This record gives sequence, structure tokens and C-alpha cells, in this order.
Amino acid sequence: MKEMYRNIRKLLLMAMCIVTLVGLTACTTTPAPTATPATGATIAPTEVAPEATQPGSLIPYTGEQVVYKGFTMDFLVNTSAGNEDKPIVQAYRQMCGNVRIDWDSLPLDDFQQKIKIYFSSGEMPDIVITNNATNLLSQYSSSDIFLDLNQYKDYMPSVQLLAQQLPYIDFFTVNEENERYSLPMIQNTDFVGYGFIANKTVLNQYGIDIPTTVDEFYEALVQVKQADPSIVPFQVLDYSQMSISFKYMFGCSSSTYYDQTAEQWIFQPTMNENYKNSLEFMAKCYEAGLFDPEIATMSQDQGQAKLAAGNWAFTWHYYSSPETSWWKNDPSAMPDLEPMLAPSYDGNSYALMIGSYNTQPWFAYFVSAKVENPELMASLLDFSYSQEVVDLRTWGIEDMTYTVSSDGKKTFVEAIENGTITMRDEYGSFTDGVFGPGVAYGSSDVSYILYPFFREGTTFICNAIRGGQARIFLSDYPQPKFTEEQASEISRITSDLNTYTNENDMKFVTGRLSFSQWDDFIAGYSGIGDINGLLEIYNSAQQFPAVTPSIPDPSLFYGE
Amino acid sequence: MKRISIFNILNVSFLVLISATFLFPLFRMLMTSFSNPDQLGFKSVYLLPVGFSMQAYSYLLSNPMVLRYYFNSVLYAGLSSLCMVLVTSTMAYPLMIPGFRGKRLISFMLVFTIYFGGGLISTYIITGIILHLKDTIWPMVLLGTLSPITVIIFRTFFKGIPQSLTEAAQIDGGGHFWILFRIILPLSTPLLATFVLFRAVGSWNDYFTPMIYVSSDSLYPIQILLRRLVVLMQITDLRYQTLLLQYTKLTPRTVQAAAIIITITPIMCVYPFLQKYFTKGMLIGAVKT
Repeated sequence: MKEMYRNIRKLLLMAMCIVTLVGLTACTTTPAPTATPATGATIAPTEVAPEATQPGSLIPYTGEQVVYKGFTMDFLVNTSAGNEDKPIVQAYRQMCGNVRIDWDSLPLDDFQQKIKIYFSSGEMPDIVITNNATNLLSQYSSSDIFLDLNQYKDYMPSVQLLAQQLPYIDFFTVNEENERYSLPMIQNTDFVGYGFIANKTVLNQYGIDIPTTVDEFYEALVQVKQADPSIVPFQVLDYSQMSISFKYMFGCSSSTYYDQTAEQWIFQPTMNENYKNSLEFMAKCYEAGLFDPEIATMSQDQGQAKLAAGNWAFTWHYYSSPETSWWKNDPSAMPDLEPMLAPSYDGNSYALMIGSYNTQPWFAYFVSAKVENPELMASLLDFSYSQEVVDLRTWGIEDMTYTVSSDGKKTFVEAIENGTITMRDEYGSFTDGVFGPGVAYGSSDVSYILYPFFREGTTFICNAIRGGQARIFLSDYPQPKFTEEQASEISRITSDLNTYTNENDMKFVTGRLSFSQWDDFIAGYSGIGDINGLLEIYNSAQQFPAVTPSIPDPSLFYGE
Repeated sequence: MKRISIFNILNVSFLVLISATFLFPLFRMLMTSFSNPDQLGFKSVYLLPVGFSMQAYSYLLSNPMVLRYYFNSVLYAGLSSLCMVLVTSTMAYPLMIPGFRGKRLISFMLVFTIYFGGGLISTYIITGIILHLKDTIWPMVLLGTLSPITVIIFRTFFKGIPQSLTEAAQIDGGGHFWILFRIILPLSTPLLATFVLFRAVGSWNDYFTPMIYVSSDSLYPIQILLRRLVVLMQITDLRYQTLLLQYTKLTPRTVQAAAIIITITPIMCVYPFLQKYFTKGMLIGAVKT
């Protein structure tokens, strides 16, 4: 009896193992290709699509369905429910024909880790959109993992045209052997959506005017503090935002920057007196209690909560934040805000330009050298740069999202104009393609700029720059073209320099270091990194052509 | 009547305070998840939710992929634990047998890998490219299955089992597999429970391995969803802010909190059942006489 019981148990155990193994095999078997095969595999490598014998774009593609695998950061992909079925996306799919890219995405930090693994291992999806493009290009272009797009330039007429209009495209993406391993995502407008904001509800209460100079700014902050100690005179998201805002107010940054007067690269902390001046000013404000008392330690979430509380007099932030974030759920609670120019220092009021349209691209496409049917991929990529696609992304669909007057002027429909609906949510958006031209000041989703305060703020700054009241200060001055060795050396030197700079920045501001120790701080750089060697690399490298701003004229877009 | 000393009172008070300190963040997260997002805004939540709403949970659970992610997490945790037990015990058992040839060489190879490893890229190339395990469940199941330290602990524990049992089994005609699976492992319940739990929790919390090896949405575990919801808004670089605010809506705090709660709940439910093994498990690997 016991023996029989034992045998039954053995049989049951074996049966369970077999079922588990079969089940696991079923779970892990890759589904056989169906109507939408993966990775452009419908055309055998030796077979050439009929259209491919004729140069020129292959779009709209009429062959069998081809699906490429793409990988990017998740804020570039619209994963909202039903997006694929929305009119703009459908229109784009129709324009492309039987070819598409299926985008996989990850949050930024994870994306950056995974993309390094992809590039280091030599295996990558068919196409990626990545950040830090110029550095990655320097590091990996010689590793033969990227497709040389110049071999397929006959299939890329839009890119050829754009490269003539925007010389920086070739500057950053074409190497000495005339190979092009990336294409930049073009921000077709200068972005000026950040700036100082005054809380008029607080200022009017105490009869304080909006300051125009740094000294007036300090006085205004002190007046607020004296009038009501519970109000934070200057409130920002966190310490780094404060540091950036004050530095650009003084026309400086924390690292290398191109001195247009001296026509050479300098290392700002050691070679620009304004760097020290900005820290001294911040330290003075900190000591006087004019910042949030927790500025040195608070998180961004805490900063957001404090900004949303409205208990501050001045801030520096993205102009859309009051309406899209802080008072999104309760617009009636929003105080009376007014955009203001950065207080001027030495007669200059600077407007921080985060993304200039014709400077160093931050985001770019990279195509795998192993992609199947590269002519079709080149055509699809090129199509995303065409005016057709740019218009679709920017304006949407004629008579649905915009109308065209007899003189050719485009105007958004009323519901979009007055912000009742957001174009992206209502009509969909797609990942492929470049940003639209200047209508949105750097936002290709018009809905954001039609928030009243954002519109007011960005219009104010654009007009100030165009009228000469404000000078542009680039967040990152376009880097020269470095070789792989130079890029590697720069990376080695700047890593330690930046750490040293940032650590001591806060120490000076919070008073942990006295400015009597400034010379020691400067002398300390010699033990950290070779600044002279760094600048030699910068100044000897091929320099970017002069930066010419393209500030949009608001009147072109909404008649102001 | 039992005498209650001042020490006991202070002791209990202190432990309650410490427990509250550890539990409060979790409690706050729970309250946030039940708050009304429209009323919550950027307000802080303390003991009670701000408004009340199940909106966050219904939003999350209405996503059909959430159940799939859950299933994947359970699958990976279960399979990886099973694999760990099988592989580790079959590796540790021969090392406890006196006179087993090659014991020293195998032990050396095990210890060597504690100090030297191939690194992430090498592992990725071998696992993802050479073995073609990319975009399958196997990296999540197999990577980390065999840990040298775990093998050593298993071996030490097995050695502590009286040899008379194994000898008796051999006399009765039992082979090594019979001895391992019918005598050794049943007597190693605390050991197995402890390490199964460690492995299951590690697998449950692991987002890095699926992030690296998996591209298909259908194979992602629940941690990837959590990461997407929580990490997305923590971008500080101005260069990304322009794109971020154009292309995303802010994920409400309530949804983030609800995602955290639904992610940790299953593991927290498993812990009480294995709690009793922990005390014995803590001494596992200690020097045996």
C-alpha cells in the first residue's frame, strides 16, 4: 500500500514537471510573425524593394508592412489610451504608408543606463532617439554600430535641404570622412519659456515696485521680508534652480563658456569675475534670510508645494508652471503674477535661452548599422523632417485644428485658441519627427502657449529680446567639434572640476566658506584638474559658427 | 498580578515609537493614495487623506497591463526561487560529501567568483546576445540564481544534519538524489524558507534586470510600471524640462502612491507566513560544532 502510494506520488510529481516545462516553453516562445512582423523583416536582405532602385523618398511606402523597433525616453512617447486612433496620428500613419516605428521607452535615468549598454555591447534597436547626442557620437561613431546615413542621402531630400538652411546640422553630425551617423531633433525655434516672475498680489499689498536692477532687486527682497517675515521673498524649486537663475542674472555659468568679446573659451569660475560676484550676492541674500530657509536641503516636491502655496514675492521658473502645475486644479487660487526681466547687472538684463534653434543639438536619432532595408529607414527618417510632417505636428489637420485665411495665415480653431482643449490630448501626437517652427516658442504643442500667463510671459520675453531690452544668455554655449580622444579627455577633466565647483558653490552661499578663502578655492582647482589643458582643447577644436538667434515674432502667431 | 516595571513601560514605549517611525511613511503613502487628486494638489498628507477617492486605484487597475505586470512579477519571483533552491542545493550537496573528488577545485571556483566578476556589459553580451535570452523571461529567472555565498551557507547547513541519517538512507538503498530530496531538503525548511523569501523579495523588487533585458511590454514586471510613474517627474535638467512639460501630463501624486501600495502589498502579505522561520534562519551559516 505504501509502495503504491509512493509510486502515485512519483507519477504526479513527474507529470507536474512535464506540465511546467511545457507551460514555460509556451510562455517563452517568441510568437511567429503575423501581419506586423518585427524589425523590418518582410524584405529579405538580398531582395531590394522595387522602389529602392529609384533614388528619392520611398514614402508613402506601398510594399508589405514593415515595423521598425525604436527606443527612446518615455516623455517623448505619447502612451495615453487611444492615441494611436486619434486623427493626427492616423493622418501621419496614412502619410507614411506601410511602414512605422514601434517605440519602446523608459524613464530618463533608466534610458541613459540602457542606451550605454546597447552602444557598448554593439547591439541596439533599429533606431533610437537619445540625449547627449554629440558626446555619444564622439564616443561611439568609430565602433561601426551606427548606420552612415550619408550613404543613403539620395533617399533623404528633406534632410539635404535642411542641412543647407541650418549649417549646424552638418557641423555636428558629419565627420571628416563625410560620414553622418546621427540626425538631430531640431528645435526649430529659440526657447525662452523660463524667466523671473513677480507675485503682484504680494508686491501691491506692500507697495513694492518690480525691480529692474540687481540692487533694486535686493532692496525689494528686503522690503518684502520686513513687511511680512512669513513671506519668502525669493522662492524657487530647489537650490540648483536658484543657483542657475542668479548666475545667468550676472551673465555667467559654472563651467566653460565662450567669451564672445575675447573670442575664446574660458572657465568661468576662475576667469569670470561675475561668477564670484553672483555667489557674493547669493550669500548676501541667504544671510539676510531672503531665500527659503530650507533652500539648501529641500526636495523638488517640497519646492513645488511651496510655490503652489503662493506665499512668495519673486520666483524663477517655467512660465507654464503656474497654470499647468501649481494651480492646475484650482485656477482661481492663482495670484496675480507678472513676468519680469531679469534684474540687470552692469547694464545688462539677460534672458536665459535653454534651447536655441541653431545650436548644438541635444537630442538626435541614431540608426543601427544592422537595420534591414536601410533605404526605407532613411526615407522614413527623412520624411519626418519634411514640411508636411512639421506642419502636421505643429498645426494639426486643416479645418479640424486650424484654418487658413485667404492670405495664407494659419489660425488655430477657437477651442484650441482659448485652451478649452489641448491639441495633443484631443487629436493625438506621434514621436517621429522634429519640433515645429516658431509658433510655440519651443513648444510644439500649441496648447501650452495658449495658457494666458505662459503666453503673456513668453510674449513679454520675446518682445524684450527683439526690442533690445534683454540679452540672450545661452544655457549651454554650443560646443566645438571634438575628436573622440578630445571628448574623452574633456570628460575626464571636467568630471572632477564640476564636482569641486558645485560643492563649493553651496558652501560659499550658505556661509560655510568665507569669501576671504576665495583665493584658496581658486588655487584648489590646480589640484583637481588641468584647466589650461581643457581650454587648450576647446580653443583648438573646430569652432561652431556664430550663434544667430531666431526669436519668434508673436504677432505672426496670434496677432499681438 | 503580573508586575509591570518602569523598564517594561519605557521599553515598550520606545519600541512603539520606533515602529511608528518606520510605519508612518507607509501609512502616509496609503493615505495619499486614497486622497482626492483635485483637492490634494501639493498639500501634505498626515493622518487622514485629503478628501477621499478611489480614483487612483481604479485608474491603475483599469489598465489591463497592470494585471499582466503582476502576473509577471509573481512568475519571476516563483520561478527564480524554485531555480535557486534546485540549483543551489544540488551544488551544495556534493560539497558536503566526504571524499568527493574535485571538492576543492569547485570550492575555489565558487570563491573566486565572489571577488572577480565580468561586469554588466559582459553579462549582457553573454546573456542577451550570445545566449539569445534578450526579451524572454529567463534573464529574470536565471541571473543571480547561483550565489556562491548561498552555496556555502547551504553546504554548512547540510553538514549540520546528522550523518547517521544519510548513512541509514544509503544502507536502505537510497541514492544521492533520494537523500537530497527526501532527507536533506525536508530537514532544511528554515534554510529554504529564508532563502526563498530573500530570493522572492529580491526578484519582486528587481527592476534593473527587466529594464536591461526586456523590451516587450508584456514581459515587464510591476516594478517597471512603478518606476515609470514615480521617476518620470524627477527631472531637474533644464534641457529636459522643455520637452517634459510639453509631452506629458503630471502624474497625480495619488496615482504614484497607489502604484507603490499595490506593488508592495503582495510581498507584505507573504512575510507573516514565513516570519517563524526567520529566527532559525538568522543562525543559518553560523559555525556549527
